[in-house]
Amino acid sequence: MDERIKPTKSGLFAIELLIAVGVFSLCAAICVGLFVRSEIISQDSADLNQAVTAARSASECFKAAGGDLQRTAELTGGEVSNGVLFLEFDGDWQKLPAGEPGTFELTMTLQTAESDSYSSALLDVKRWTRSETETVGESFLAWEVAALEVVS
Amino acid sequence: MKRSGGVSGAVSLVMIFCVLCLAVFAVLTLSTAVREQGLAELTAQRAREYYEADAEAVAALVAIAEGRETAADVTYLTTAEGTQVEFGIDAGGTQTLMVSALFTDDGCHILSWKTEYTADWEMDTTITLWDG
Repeated sequence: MDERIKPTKSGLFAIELLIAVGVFSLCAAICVGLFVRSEIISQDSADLNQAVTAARSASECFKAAGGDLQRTAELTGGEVSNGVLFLEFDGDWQKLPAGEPGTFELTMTLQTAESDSYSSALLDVKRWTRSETETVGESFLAWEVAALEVVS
Repeated sequence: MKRSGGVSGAVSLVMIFCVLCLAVFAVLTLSTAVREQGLAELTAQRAREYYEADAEAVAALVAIAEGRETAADVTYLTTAEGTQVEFGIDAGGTQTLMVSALFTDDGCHILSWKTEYTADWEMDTTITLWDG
């Protein structure tokens, strides 16, 4: 005697629902991963754009100051320590008061030029990652800037 | 009493639609982010190349003023006011930093310091325009 259990309509619906939820969860997890990756890439791009803007501004101030680091610090609102100009920014690229450690740091180090008639400096932008145990700085933008002496 | 069993296949259809929407938006977001990153890196590279050319031009100008050798291809022009020098330094891509300065008894006067487009320019004739 054939006594096969006939699946009910609600049983089939429950199985379909379970499979649908499983497949959707898997796809959603992959897509959320892509969204997170996009967000990280976008944030890096925004940081690079902001760094270029800040570096250009500092470079032009250095050129306008005729290569004088102290005058550049006055123009940019930075601080000179041991012959290096420091400009600190927080995570949103807002300038921080001199001496306060920030997430991003722009430094300008005077280079030895071939002649006394001009000054050159190495500009570097770093991203600082601070944890309880260590502080790691990663340089992501650097160039050399030179300035002729300004004769007033 | 009638038992409610749901509509077979409707859940799958809604799920497929949601997954497709999610996938399309995720891919679009990622491709936009990657393109933005490319643009940001290109902007940074152009800025770096410009300031490298600028530093090279400053060094060349000072070398000329001090009578030293310079790697730049310099054109000298003697005028009534003094000696005019002109040279160009590659600033990356299709840009060249063109410098013109006048050396007089008073010192060096910068006449121009600008980037110029140096690639060949080709007229686009692919679009048919109405010319009356």
